[in-house]
Amino acid sequence: MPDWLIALIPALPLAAALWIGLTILFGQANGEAHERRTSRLALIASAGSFIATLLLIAARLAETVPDQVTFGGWLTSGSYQVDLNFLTDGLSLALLAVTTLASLLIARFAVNYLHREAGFHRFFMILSLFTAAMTVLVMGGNAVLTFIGWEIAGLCSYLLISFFQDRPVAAGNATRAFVINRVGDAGFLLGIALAFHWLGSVDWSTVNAGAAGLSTTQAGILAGCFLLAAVAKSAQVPLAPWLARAMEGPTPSSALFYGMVMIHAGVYLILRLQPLFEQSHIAMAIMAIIGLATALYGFLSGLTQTDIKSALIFSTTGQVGLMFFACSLGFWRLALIYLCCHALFRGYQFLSAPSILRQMHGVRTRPVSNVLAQRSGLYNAALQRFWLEEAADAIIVRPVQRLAGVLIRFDTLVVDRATGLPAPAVNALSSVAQWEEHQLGAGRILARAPGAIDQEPGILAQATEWTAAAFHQVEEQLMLKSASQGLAVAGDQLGQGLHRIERWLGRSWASMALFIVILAVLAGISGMMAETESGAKSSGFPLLSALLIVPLVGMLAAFRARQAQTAFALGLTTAVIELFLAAQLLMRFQPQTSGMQFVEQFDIPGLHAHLGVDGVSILFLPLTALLTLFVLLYTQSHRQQQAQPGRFVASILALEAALIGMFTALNLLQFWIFAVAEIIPAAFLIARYGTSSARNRAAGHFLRFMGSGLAALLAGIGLLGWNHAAITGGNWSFALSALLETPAPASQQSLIFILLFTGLAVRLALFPFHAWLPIVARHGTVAVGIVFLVGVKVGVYALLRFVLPLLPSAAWQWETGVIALGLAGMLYGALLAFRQSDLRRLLAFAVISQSGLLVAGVFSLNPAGLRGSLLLALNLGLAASGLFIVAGLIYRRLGTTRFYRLGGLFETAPLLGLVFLVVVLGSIAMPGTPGFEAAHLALEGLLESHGWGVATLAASGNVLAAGYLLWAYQRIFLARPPQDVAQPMSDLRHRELIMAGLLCAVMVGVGLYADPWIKTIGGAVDEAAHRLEAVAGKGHHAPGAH
Amino acid sequence: MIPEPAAAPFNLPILSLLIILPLAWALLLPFLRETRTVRIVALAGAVLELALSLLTAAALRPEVAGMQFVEQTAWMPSLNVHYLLGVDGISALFPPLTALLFCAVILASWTSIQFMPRLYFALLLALEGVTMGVFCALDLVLFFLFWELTLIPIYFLISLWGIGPERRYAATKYTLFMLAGGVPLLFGMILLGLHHASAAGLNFDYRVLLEHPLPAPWQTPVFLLLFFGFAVKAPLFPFHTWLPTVLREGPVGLSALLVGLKLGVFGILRFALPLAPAAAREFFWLMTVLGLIGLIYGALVALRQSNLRKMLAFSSISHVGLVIAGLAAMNLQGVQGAVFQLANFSIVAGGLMLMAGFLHHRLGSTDLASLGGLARPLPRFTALFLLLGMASIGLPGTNGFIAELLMLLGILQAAPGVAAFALLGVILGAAYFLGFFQRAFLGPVTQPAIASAMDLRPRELLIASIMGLLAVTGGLFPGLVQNVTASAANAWVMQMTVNQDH
Repeated sequence: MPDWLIALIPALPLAAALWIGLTILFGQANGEAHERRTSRLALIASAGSFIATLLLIAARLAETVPDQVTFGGWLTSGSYQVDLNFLTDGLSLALLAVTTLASLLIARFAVNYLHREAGFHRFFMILSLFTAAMTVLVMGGNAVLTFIGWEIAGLCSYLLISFFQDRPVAAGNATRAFVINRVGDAGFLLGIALAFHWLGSVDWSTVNAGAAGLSTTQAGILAGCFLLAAVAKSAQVPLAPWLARAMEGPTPSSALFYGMVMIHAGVYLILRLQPLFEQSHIAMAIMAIIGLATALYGFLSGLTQTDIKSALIFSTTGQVGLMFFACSLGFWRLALIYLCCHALFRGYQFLSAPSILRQMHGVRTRPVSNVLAQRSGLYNAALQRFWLEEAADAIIVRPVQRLAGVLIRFDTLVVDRATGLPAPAVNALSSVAQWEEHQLGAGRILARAPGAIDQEPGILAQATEWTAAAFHQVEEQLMLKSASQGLAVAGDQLGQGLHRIERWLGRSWASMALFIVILAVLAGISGMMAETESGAKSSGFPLLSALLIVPLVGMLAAFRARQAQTAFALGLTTAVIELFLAAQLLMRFQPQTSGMQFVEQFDIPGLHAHLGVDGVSILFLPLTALLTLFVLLYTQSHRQQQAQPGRFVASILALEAALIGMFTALNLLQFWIFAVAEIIPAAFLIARYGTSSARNRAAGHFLRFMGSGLAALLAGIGLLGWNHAAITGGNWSFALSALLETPAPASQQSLIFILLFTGLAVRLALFPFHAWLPIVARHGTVAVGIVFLVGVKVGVYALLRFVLPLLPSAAWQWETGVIALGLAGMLYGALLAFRQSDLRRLLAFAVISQSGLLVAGVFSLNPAGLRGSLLLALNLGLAASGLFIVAGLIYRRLGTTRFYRLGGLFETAPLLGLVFLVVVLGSIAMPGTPGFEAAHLALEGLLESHGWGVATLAASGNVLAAGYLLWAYQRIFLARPPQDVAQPMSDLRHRELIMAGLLCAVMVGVGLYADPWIKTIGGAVDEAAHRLEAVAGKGHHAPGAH
Repeated sequence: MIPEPAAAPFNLPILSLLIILPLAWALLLPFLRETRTVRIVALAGAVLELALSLLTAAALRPEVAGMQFVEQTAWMPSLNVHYLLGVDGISALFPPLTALLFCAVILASWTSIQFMPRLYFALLLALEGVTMGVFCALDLVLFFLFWELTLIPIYFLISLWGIGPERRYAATKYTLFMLAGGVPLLFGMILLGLHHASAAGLNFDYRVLLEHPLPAPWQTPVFLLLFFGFAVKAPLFPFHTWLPTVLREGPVGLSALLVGLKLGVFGILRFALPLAPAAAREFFWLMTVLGLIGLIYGALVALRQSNLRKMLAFSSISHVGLVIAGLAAMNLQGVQGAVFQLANFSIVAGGLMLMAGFLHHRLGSTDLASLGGLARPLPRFTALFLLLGMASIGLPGTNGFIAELLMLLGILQAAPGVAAFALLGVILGAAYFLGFFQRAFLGPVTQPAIASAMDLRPRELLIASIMGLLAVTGGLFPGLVQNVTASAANAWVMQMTVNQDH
């Protein structure tokens, strides 16, 4: 007896099912024409299976077949092994014979019965699949194979109950039947898993053999699992009702499934597991109760049925119940014989039912039987099928549905709100926007544009919004008012003089005169430097002096230019030369050395001027040059709007010169002078070229703030110099190298530190010294905004360059306070950014927020933190400038940057949108932009020095930044545009495209490969950090290492 | 004798190619003029990628437990970060499936994308490239880079090609959830690196970190950070609320990718558990409970959904819950089942979502109000939908069954008490899927639009039948997958049980 014959039994009908299925799917089995082919295929397959079964039985009788045939492994996972093995013992063969015979007979019957029915082909496919499944079920040598047949048979049953797809009742019944079957399947699965867990195998032979070794409880649980499966499959009480509903399918299927074959699968399972069940008396007892109850249920309910198919099905239920009962009493063999006889007899009854129906047409329904007629209560109960289904509905189905309903509400109202992370961005801002729209009377038009967000704010969102609102109040009531009143009063002594300057600036010639005087002095200094060059480490050509002189020369040349073209040509040439020089500097720079390079020094009366760069300052020079170039490119592309272009270009170049001067100064006084020199052209640019009528007020604000900052700075520098003089005996000096040799006594360090830090904090726009920045950003020109952003970073630079080396012990002492201030400022700026209704103001608060993070990073006072902050400063110079440039480009096109006037720009200006997105991602430190490595290092520094809480807080700044920046992006570029505003928006023009492309290329290029830059700054920064750590080691204050 | 890792076919840097090819292709697309050419070229790129990924999978030696085809170049020496790629038996499954799903998505978007098709296909291919990077990256920072880079194309795909009225909200919501999930991830990775720094220098190499497990007190924060960071993307209850929104509002192709490629679960499998095994064992109950809550919760909520795409979203949440519970079992059956199920997602969940898209394309909605009686006008669609649906609820003969069975075995061994809850999911799965099927597909035709709807076009039929075929193949021949994952999964389990006695 070859093994392949055994494999043929399930394989033939499976192949037939697959083939018919494929022909249906690809439209090759349509209607009557192909009926013959389909039915033949199914018949041949069934017949083949049946013949193979007969041969197998013959071989079995001749005793040439073992009990179990294995075809190899199927599924392996460690010790869990499922083989493809088939049982050929008496039990399997008996059922196999019944199954294959039944399917052969029914297939033949259905050929005529379903002739010209819509689902003819579908029926034969399901029938063949079912035959295959049943043969696997009864032959499967292990629980998994049996389960596969078990479940696929259930699927076939589902498909046949819902065979007439248009009938809603059929569809409902099918679903119900399948779900109840699935309850049994869950039991089966649990049985499989437990069998593997306890017995180590899922083979039926092992399970039965091992059953004796199980404890009573284990055997009871295992038997209970399989009993549940059998009860569901064989429609026993309490899972019986699905069977009556299954009569919706075509008659042949009813006969096959519920009369002959599938209904008996449960009995088969129990017979198969006879040794297991014998181990558990409880399981046997339950089985007896269930069997008996079902027999009664089937009998009584059957009596009330008026339809032949229903009567038959209840009879079947009852009979199968008796089989369960027989098993439970230990009459296993009886149950098997009973099963086979019942199957064939019942099959015949079902198949003849349609003919009987036809014959009986018009005959009176049969009367109620005597048993029930006299007992109305029992009759009612039987008629209602003992309310089993209603009970199940009430106990399980409806509560589950209600629970589902509750959970849906829970999901939207609780979970979505509680985890409503995005809501701060969306809601806090949209409420501001709505308020603003309301104020401006635009509310009705924009009130609820389709696509507007109408989500409930989350709990986090609500909290964020409240905090933001509170901060907003503080900002409006205290900061801005005190900035314009209180602070002004406080600084009035100083303010008097500055007011005069401000008035001067109204008359541009006067201010320009002053400006020229200062710059002329500087130019003179530079000229002298070129002569008195002392090339300690310099490389011949005085690059730093050249860097200073070139913009000054360009400025003087451009100042007189009348024509915009000339002015910008001069300006751009200068900027390009400057960038070239800066690049030269960078290339000649030796990254490994930590000391000053390209040093040039000389004496002029009262000032020992000293120029040099090291790793800390080197990268700022090309950045400044690059951004100046951006500014000029930006303004050039709409030069027709500029009045007096020559002066504009000259001011920008003057700013550049001043910034370069600050970055190269190694003498504190010299630094201070350059800082003063910087604010004059800046104020001029704000006052003269600002974008709103309030620009003069903005310039005034700017001057007052900077003035106070510079005063504090000067006081601090003075104290340092005085201290030096006190130590060296009246020898005044402000040179960094000299001051380093004479550290200030600890008693004075704190005072000096506070003075210097405050002075720089104003420059940095660090909370609470930031109030000038939003005003300047809102009213000043975009160009100034950009230059300032480099300027803002001057603050970080100066902290690193002067404050930390000169005042190390004070730095350690104030470290915690400064970090707290920085982080507070970061949160403050971020939350306020959420409340802004103007893009440029939003960006200003973003810068304030980032300044906070920068300062916190610097004051982690370890190499990682210092490196990170320095890189971050450079990155933010790029990214924030990019943001301002985009804001400027939008302003230039639409004349506004207020959110309620913007929307949907991505459709008309996709390139602009992409540029904005790249810089947004850069400023929120996405990997692939320079911010990533920088933020990574800064966080690492903070984590190292201050542990979890602080680092987490710092990182949350990035999350908030992502919130408001992406919100702004969405609002401007993606949201539906306001309908009343016509937006003839053009995309980037050529010059703008060059500028934007350059910006993005630099960001992504540096971001993906930041290593050279880190190497460049590495030496100097590590040196600084070591110096700090040395102080901490011997100092009075323990380093904050945790 | 320990078998040697396989050499890359033709000595190519094949993993880099896997990442670069779609990215380069994405750059090429904007230069094409005709929409038709764009589609064809995009599809050609995806098919080429599929071939390449199949080559990778074929060249892999499954009996080797370690990483293969490793490529290593210094990237950020200041942080000792490398450009480091490699695959093992677990991760090697995913590139071919990813490539296949992308092919299907591109085919499915053939005519339904009319708005800026060049950008759409370019973004899809870019997403494919970075997704490959997520599966192949072995350096934590590189992984994080790819991980976050997936955000950009997804953001645009949702906000520009979404099919719901609130697509922009959905895009922002998705992005913010992912960024919020990224923060703990980054922290966890920094902690890992820093700890290693205190012992033997900063290092983000996955293999090195595996060999030097953290001391127990460090493991807890690292594990929790990584686990919750990944859980947001998985998504695991209660961080799941973005998924229904995105699936309802986003473009169908992307939705298929989001339910088909479970990067978050992959992250938990690859990083969160093995890098902090002791803490993972300690928090085994947390994962199991969260997973099972997700399983039952998702299934129950899916039971009452009236929109096919939302139903699929909650079904996906439910399935992910079971996978997490299976991983938490930390035994061979559990993890092999989980990996098997992850592979199934791209076929079954992705396929179902694409079919929901076909429906949306025809009827303009996937809401029950506009469905009903689809079986008669759309017989092929119905048949294949049912097949994939059955695979998703774990019917034997489909791939879903194998995975579910293995996971149940695993969970039962690790926590016998809770396995019963896992079985509730089996019942509820049938209930929500068939309940929806009944209301949408069976019964009389309710809308005139449905009666005249066209059955699957050849292109759609191709996609759906390939998915169906794969589902059945996986179910009938589970050895195909099991053999590939066996030794890597074994190594994984060994890693999880290392130092267990201490």
